[in-house]
Amino acid sequence: MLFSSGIFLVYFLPIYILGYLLIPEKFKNAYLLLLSIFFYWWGAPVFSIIVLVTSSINFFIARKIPTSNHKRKLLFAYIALNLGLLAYFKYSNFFVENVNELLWSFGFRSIEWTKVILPVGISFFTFQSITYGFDVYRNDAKPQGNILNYYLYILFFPQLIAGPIVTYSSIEKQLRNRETNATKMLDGLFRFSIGLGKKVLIGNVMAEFGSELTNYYADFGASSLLSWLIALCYTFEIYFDFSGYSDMAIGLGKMVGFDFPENFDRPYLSKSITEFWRRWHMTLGNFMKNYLYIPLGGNQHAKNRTFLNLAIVFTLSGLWHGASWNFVVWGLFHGFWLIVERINPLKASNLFQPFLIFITFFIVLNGWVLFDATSLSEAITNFKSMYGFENFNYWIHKNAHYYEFHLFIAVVICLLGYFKYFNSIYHFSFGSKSTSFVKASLALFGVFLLFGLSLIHIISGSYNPFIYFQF
Amino acid sequence: MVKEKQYRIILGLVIVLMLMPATMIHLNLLPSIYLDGVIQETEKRHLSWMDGTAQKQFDEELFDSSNFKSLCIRSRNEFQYSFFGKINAQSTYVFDDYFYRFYVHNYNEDIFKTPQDSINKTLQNLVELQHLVGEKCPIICIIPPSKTRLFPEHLPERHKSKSTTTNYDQYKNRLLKNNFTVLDFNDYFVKNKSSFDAAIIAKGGIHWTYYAATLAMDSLVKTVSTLKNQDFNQFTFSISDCDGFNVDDQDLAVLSNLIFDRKDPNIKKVNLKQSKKIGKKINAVIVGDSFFHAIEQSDLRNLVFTSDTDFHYYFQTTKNSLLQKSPINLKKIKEQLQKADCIILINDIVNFEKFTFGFADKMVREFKK
Repeated sequence: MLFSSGIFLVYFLPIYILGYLLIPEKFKNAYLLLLSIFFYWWGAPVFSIIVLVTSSINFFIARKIPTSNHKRKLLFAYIALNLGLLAYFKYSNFFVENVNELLWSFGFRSIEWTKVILPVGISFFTFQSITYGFDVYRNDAKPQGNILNYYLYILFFPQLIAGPIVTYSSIEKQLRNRETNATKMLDGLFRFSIGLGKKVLIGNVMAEFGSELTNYYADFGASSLLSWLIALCYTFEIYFDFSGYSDMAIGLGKMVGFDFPENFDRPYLSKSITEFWRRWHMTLGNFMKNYLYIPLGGNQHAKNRTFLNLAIVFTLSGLWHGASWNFVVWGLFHGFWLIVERINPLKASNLFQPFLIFITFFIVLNGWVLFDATSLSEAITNFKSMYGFENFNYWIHKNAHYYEFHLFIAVVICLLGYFKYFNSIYHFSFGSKSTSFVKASLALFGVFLLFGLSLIHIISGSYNPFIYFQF
Repeated sequence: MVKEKQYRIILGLVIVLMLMPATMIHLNLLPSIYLDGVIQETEKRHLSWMDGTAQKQFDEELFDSSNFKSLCIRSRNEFQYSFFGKINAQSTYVFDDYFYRFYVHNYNEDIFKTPQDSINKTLQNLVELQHLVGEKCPIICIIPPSKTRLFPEHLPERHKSKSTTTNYDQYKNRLLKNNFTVLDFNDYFVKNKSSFDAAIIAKGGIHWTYYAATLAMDSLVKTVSTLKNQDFNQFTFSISDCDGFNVDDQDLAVLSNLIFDRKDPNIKKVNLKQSKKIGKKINAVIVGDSFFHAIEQSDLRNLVFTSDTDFHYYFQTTKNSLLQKSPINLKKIKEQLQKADCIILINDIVNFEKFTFGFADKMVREFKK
């Protein structure tokens, strides 16, 4: 089930809110768990059993860790189980394909293999499980005594499918005790509606635009201008799609009293790749830092070791995004720029800020070309077209103005973030304690219109892909 | 500062609003909202609740049978058209609120050029057919107006060309050369565009309006009367104001499934009146495209043509005076031709690519059997 689907918005969401308000306090977590299991089952019935079984095993192993004499071994087993699950479902096809290519090139017979289907959200819930094991091992959190609360932590539907990756230590207390009131619920709805609007009214349109351009390109031949435009569309599509989804997840959590960590902070306004990774998919960045980079030694050793650690972390980040060489190269691409910045950091000054933002955006956009391609060879073809500068034919389409306008809006929204414009609106109209009833009502009315408009587009059957859903 | 109590009021209101779509759907509270045109059906697949395919199908079809989806589609279309000029109807283009069809790309219809030998063959068959049916049954070609030629001022430059050797030019010249009667309403309406009292083609339409079709039939009756030296049924008509919207005249705008009717103040209501002197009705064999619909779906059909007159749509389907459809029956058409007053070919400029739709060729062979 998608948040941006008719069934979710018309049926599931009202039931979620109303049910939570009406259910007695002691049953609220169980209610949320039931809804979450139903949510996951709706999309992937078979895999919901796998998730429940592995979560149960995780729970019982992790419970033993604090009191065990073999803490490290238990942790190792715990990590191995989760990574093994991820490796099997996500990477076995990739591994076998590459081995078969190698065997074929040496004239040997390929291995026969039935392709494994990827369970939705596996990358996210395995990482969450891993944070639980680590946090318990490090005594950052006590093991959860109530298995239902543990299931809820792993399976809670707002962040189950595409994050944010919520560490157990950050949510432990909220599982037991959290405040729910009308203010928080409306705050959550506000956030959810903004996210929905970002995804449906801009992200989807950018995806549609990119698709139309790609078809035009295929019909009428290569054009450098079109290639750049396709890359630009994808750059905004992935941002509005993913950040929109994160907003929806955070909003859904807030409605029932959970405070999930932020996942995006105006990443396209970064002045360096280092800063970009502090603003883009922040929970993944934090996970990689705390559970991989620091255990590897971080920057505590010699420079070369630091660079190696960065390369490992970003290669694995790339691989985490997808089982394909283009994702690995994308990860290495970012790792490379991080290393470059370490060797020669550009000292930011007020004069150069827009220039630094532009350069960083340019680098990130090129990275997305790698990310968007279905293979390395496709990425190379796209780069050749972009940098060939041979043909600057623009496209002709009856709805060109519609798409161009939305691209303009996407750019403006990103730029306005520089001035924290939207935060100001939020605090002015709703988030501040000095807000008046009229302002709050108007803000909520406006946001509800956004919700309604998004719903209309969804029910009408508009283009509605979700990029991060494939993970 | 807003108090928690006040937020509770707002929350209550929001929850009520959120429950409204489901309530309206299940209690059937929405008015009937129809969608025009062909709506893409949800693809039917093999379903299983275990692998999620049944759930996916359920999601896609959930709102299909409710008026809620139709309301959403129209709302979305209206929003996108009103704010961005985006039309979601396939092959429909809008420039300055004038709706055009896909062939806006070939403004002068010179892209799908018919080869010379094909034109020659068609003309040859027509000449032969005329010879076989005799002079008593003249072939009359009606060329309705083309919107791209009637309103070129709204088209972007890329949709225009200066070609004078289009299929239309070629066929018209060859038909006239072979002494066929050609009623070129495209030329007539384009040249006299500003002199008409009502719209020839509505802003939101792609076919001629009822008014234009009435003018054409008036002209046809007079032409047949002259050709046959006989009095055929005359009629008079007057026009009166209407609310500026007519579903038949504004077919493209209607197919775009908007919420608000796009009114065209130039659309007028046509009031037909039988002439005092009643003549014979025309017994014709009519072959043509959708431009005949304005005639067959109005009082014009029975006023001008006999009840034996059949209309052969693209020469694929036959419709009688009661609008009942049947497959093409060459034998029956041959019999009709032997009694008919004339053969009428109604051919839109774009359809010159398939002029006569195979009628001439097939009927010549039928006669020679």
